[in-house]
Amino acid sequence: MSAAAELQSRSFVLLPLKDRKIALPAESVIELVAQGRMQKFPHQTPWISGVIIRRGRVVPVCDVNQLFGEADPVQGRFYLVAEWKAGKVRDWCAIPVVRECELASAENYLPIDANAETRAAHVAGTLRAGEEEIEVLDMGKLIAEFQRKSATSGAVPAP
Amino acid sequence: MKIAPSEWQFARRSGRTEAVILFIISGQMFAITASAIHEIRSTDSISGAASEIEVEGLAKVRHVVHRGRKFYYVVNGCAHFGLPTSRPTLVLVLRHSHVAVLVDAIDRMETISLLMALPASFSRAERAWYRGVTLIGEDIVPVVNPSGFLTEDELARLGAVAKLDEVAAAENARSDASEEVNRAVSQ
Repeated sequence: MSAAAELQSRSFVLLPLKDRKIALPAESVIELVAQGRMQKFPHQTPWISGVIIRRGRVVPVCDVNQLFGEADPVQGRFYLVAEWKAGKVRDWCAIPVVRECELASAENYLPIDANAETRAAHVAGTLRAGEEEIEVLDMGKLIAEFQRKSATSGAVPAP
Repeated sequence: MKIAPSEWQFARRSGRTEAVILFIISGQMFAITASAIHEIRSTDSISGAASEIEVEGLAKVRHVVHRGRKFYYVVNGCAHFGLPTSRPTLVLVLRHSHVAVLVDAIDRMETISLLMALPASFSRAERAWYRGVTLIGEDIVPVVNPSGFLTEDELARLGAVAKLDEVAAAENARSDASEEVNRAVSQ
């Protein structure tokens, strides 16, 4: 099955950020929860803004501005908890989202160039709905890419 | 996908319990296993035994305390954890180690039965700083790793500088003594 055909057969969770949407494969999503109290403690991992506890686990909350390059702070109402994997590392992260998420089948969208060389490594493909293009993210690759860039530059890069 | 209720679901507790000391640095609470603490002193009580030490790139250690044949490098907790500067009033002297840590206050002792691993997402220095996190009431509190305050490399660099300082002090003492002898002979 080609990457585009595979993309078309899957379901995705669409996350509303401030001015755009991003998509994650539905199988990577653990749950959507009402936003509770995020807690902080000192650390040096730049894309983590705090932690919550879900299902007996400490779940890092991602800094949407850092990780997704959002310009303004996102005042989330929900946390979308998703699993990511990069090499041997596997973890959950909570993504603050401003509105309810949607579950969408790619059949209703037009998948485009799932493997385009021009795309960043963390973009698995794009869903198009009318004028709107929604990037399907590979969170593991996004986080690994971000960590690599921030480790080498010392500064926090735009994703 | 469903919206789950927001109540916490706690990790399974192990049968083992551990006594921890909760301490505060710049408003942040930390826990450390009580067995790792040799003693807790006020900063005033050790100031007389402290001498300055300076190692390039290691701003978190400014003093070394000599107590009999033992010595401790004093780590500033704010600098170590990257917290805003505060006014430490206490020193945690760690057991089986050459490290003492400046903290603002001791909150209390607690017994914990839950130590959750630091998530794999945390990928920087915090992996050495903490053994994990625990829950104190509804608060997530990091449990510090007593051996995470100074790395082997940092200890070696401090040791090298301390040795140089000792040699310099001994040479100064020797030259002072010989000057005194010379003065006595000339009189």
